[in-house]
Amino acid sequence: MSSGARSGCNETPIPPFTAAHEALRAEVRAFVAAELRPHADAWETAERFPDGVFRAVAARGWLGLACGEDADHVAAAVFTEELARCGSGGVAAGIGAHGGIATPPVARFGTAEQRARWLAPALRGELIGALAITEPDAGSDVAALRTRASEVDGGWLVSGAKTFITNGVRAHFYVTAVRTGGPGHGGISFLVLERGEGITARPLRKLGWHASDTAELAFDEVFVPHDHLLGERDRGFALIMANFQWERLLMALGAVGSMRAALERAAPVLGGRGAGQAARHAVAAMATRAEAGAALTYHALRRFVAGGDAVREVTMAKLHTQRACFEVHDELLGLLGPDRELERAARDARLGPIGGGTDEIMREILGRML
Amino acid sequence: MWELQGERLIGAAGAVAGAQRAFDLTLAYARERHAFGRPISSFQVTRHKFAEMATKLEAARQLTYTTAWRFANGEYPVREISQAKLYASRIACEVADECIQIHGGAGYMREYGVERVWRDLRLNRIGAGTDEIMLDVIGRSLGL
Repeated sequence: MSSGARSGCNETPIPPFTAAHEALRAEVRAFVAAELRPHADAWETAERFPDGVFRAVAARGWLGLACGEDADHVAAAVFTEELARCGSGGVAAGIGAHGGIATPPVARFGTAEQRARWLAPALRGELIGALAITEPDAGSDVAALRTRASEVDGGWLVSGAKTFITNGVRAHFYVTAVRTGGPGHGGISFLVLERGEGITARPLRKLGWHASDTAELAFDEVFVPHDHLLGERDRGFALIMANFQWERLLMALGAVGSMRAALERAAPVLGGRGAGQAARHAVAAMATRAEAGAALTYHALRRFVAGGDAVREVTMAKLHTQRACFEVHDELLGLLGPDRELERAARDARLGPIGGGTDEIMREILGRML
Repeated sequence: MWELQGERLIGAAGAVAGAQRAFDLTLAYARERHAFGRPISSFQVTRHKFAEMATKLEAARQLTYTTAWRFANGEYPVREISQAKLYASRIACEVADECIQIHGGAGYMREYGVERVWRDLRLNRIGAGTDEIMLDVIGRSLGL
């Protein structure tokens, strides 16, 4: 069982990981254990975590790993995998939404002025960002989004609603998908909305991710200047699709880290000679499922960093790991009995087969392309 | 031991009822919720999910009713009671989980109600004898 419960700290790094990445892994693991995990219970109960956490992560240079000229997506992957050990899916989600999905579009599609205004302070943890795409009536069907940006003198007036937005209440800026053109995927643009007049945010209570600030947003004629347009007008759908691959890969990596951490705790109890045969076999099956998920995810990561089309691999990795992560935690909960951390991790993991594109959407993408 | 059997049978009935409630809520939601220009209930995958759930629910309900009828008529069918408790609790969790999935993001939010059914039903596989205990009882009843 020792191989199934391997820590993930490879002594001989396997590509795409290098010795430097494994050193980073050890550093992040120590930080997470010392600075985040001890507070997980309190932050879950409070249903929030301090803004200072963003600054603490930023101070180590870990918020911008996937941004800019010297972006290292493998390093960002290591960070995400290790962050999953913080004991709160909500904390990981808040940091991940900021560094993994809200800031990369600004880095990739923003002008020098836009990067100076939002990205630089965001990577220092001084500004917190959110990505606002999903709407109450447009979830999986992204191209159906209706938040309207009407052109006026000097910019746009934005009206509409967004939902399930991570960091939604506390965000200083929202990278927001709006409709600037006609219906369908051709009329979507991205605007950066700054917190202020016309924007109201309502926190949402959830099955898990309790420490995450997840909100429903209402925009009421929010004035947005022309220079807040990110990328090309009416070409926002391409930005959504580009971002989805990275978001799904991050989710897969988070699940890999989470499953490994759970199995490390469970294997010594359930996998030894003293445990029952049924439990021993169950752990063996779970470890195999987790290891297959890790291998598939690293394969997708290699394809992604190589720059080729990784849609197939990323989609498979997301589909495999999200359901596996929930079921591993759920099954361990049954085998180990009452356990606060496992119970929370199971609830947190249940978001996986829904967020970032449901399992059904993943199967639809794969079914059409295979 | 006699009281425990009654509790397990009630647990089975409660599991079926809880899952049926999630099913009903979700059926109404799926008929109303539109994606890609049509109600999500009209997608083949969704229709099959409901068919699967309805079949599991009916099997669990009939196993529970039949066992309850025998119990009420003076029998002491420990094996079937354990099977009803095990099966109903398990499929109730599966049904509630599928209901969350059909709701998508809304399923994860407290205000839609299915997430509470999902959380509450998970206890049925632990309380009054875990799944593993039910399997042990059933196995022993087969002389193993």
